[in-house]
Amino acid sequence: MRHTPVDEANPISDASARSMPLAELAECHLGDPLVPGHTMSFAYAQRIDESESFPHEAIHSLYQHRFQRYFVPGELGGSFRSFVELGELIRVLSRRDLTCSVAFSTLFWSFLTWMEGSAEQKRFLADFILRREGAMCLAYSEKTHGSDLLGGDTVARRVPDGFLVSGEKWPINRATVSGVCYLLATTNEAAGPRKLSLFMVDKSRLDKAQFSNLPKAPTHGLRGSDISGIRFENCHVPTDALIGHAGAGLEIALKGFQITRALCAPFSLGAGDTALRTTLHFVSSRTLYGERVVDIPHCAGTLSDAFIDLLICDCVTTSGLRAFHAVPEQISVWSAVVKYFVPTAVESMIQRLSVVMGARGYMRDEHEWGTFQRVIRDAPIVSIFDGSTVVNLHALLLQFRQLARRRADNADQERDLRRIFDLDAAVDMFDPKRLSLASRHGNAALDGFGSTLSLIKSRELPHAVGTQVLERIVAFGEQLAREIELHRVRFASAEFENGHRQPAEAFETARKYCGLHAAAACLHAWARTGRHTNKFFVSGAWLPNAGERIFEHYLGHAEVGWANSSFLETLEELRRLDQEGRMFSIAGSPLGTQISTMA
Amino acid sequence: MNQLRTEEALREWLMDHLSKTLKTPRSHLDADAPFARYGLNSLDGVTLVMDLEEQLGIELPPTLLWDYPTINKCVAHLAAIGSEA
Repeated sequence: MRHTPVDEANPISDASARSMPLAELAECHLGDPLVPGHTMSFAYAQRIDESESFPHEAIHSLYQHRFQRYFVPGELGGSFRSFVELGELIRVLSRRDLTCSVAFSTLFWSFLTWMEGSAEQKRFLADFILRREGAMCLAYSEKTHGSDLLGGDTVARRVPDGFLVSGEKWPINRATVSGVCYLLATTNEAAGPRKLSLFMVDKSRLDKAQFSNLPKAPTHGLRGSDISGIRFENCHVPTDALIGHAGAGLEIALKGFQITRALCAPFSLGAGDTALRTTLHFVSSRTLYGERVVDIPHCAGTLSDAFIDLLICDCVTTSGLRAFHAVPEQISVWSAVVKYFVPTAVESMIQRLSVVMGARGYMRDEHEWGTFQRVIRDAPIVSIFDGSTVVNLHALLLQFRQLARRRADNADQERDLRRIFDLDAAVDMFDPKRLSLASRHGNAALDGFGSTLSLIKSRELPHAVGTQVLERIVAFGEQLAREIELHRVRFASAEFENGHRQPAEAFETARKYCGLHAAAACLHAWARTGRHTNKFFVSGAWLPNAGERIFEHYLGHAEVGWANSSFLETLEELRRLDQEGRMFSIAGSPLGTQISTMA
Repeated sequence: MNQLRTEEALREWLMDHLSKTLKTPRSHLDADAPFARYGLNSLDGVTLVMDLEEQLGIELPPTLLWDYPTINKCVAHLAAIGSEA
């Protein structure tokens, strides 16, 4: 599919927004990153990376296109409809340049206000974002305390008309280039987990003599980013900056993370798409030993595996984002799985591709503006920021005992599974009040797996599937069901382990749990998505190999009995998607092709 | 939560539960000391509330132990809930 050019001066209209999926619409507006001369091109990404300068022009152009509206709820004048759609937008931005995407997407911190802010705070923020190109930073971390939020030294002392804030936050994305700062500070040192309060600070209302910015920190990747800090010195912050009540800071912060951690996965999916695409272009045009490199079995296998990894990650991400609308009570589990699994899986995938890229993948000015070396530097930040890999695995393992004991009743579960895993079905409105710090209703992806396996075995599928493929998928499903049961039995009677001194093996168990969830997500999504146009996805031909990869990398099974050693079908699909200009994803949505005229 | 309706019964049960959970002799538990003294961090507190819910058969705020951070404060609150039920 080819898009006609879009007029730069004509931002997204309501009519076009309704008639076209957002991913496609955004691609249409942003053009082909392989064509230089515009701010969402690889050439521009290379320029800001090399100069280590903030992508002001690119960010401005995204506001001109009014993409900020997808972060703001409809009742406040925005166009947010679902996290699935927002995730699609972030993936579209991220496949062009992570620096720009991460800088623009700090807008997702606005959900802190949409969730817990007052009516006046919501009105202010909506206006700030929609009409003033407003952006925000999240000032939680401190130099000597890392992810230990309760250990922070920043204090907010109550005074008659507000608070006096003192302390330093670092490293903070967009600490300098932002107008609003979400600040976590101690309001009552003696109150334990209630010591922290959250403030939405409008920097324009502060006395400039009372706060200052710390210099940009030079970084390995995302080199154009504003990774800096902010220092407050007896800085007066008005009372109306407080979000929720004093002492609610940690609780709001943890619920906010549930949203933003899941929304980090599309950063990785976009980066993964670009790493695979630029590698495919390289090996398709290169001849060695009288043969095109793409046809050499090792290379073909690596590309095929990378594509399957992306499909697995897409299943995990898309179902995880849909879960916000179907089972928000369970999101403490889903979000941690998504944030652990997807960024690390994509990082590993890119590392494996680097073998195929060889020296070209190490050069900053070769093959498609040095895109591969930029992505391999940029992508690993996703598993670090916004709750690191260890933080997410820890959040999961603390819940294992209860997850093994509790689950939703069967009728609810069947309904939930359809809502989550039929990727074509509409989603319900998101209700932030249903988020919880711990799941009381288990994890539908694992608890409901037996139901989906029965569907598969009874062939009550919404699409046709070949007998041989089905046999392999059933074998995969049956082994997965056994592994899920083993995990459940182990933790149903497990003892409580407190604190941050969990044994190292516990983290390995949490990693396995993420593998179980990912494998289940693939099978659920395949078995319950019917009307999809992507014939390759519904054929199931990729599923046995997806299962093999997950069992090998997460569950410690070197060999499984169901894998299909042929990768030709997968490689053929990968090449078809690229030739037709489509995303390497389940939906395979069309990519932008026009030459943009943006500066 | 019938059998745990009185403050005393609740305290006994919670002391036993914490003693087992924290692998600490009951005699080492101080009913007026903050849970943090026993190495329980904020997320451990949430996990323990889920255990409490299971035992008591009622739904509690996951942040219960943040707001009632000692055995005695927690017991007094649970007893108050029980008497209202």
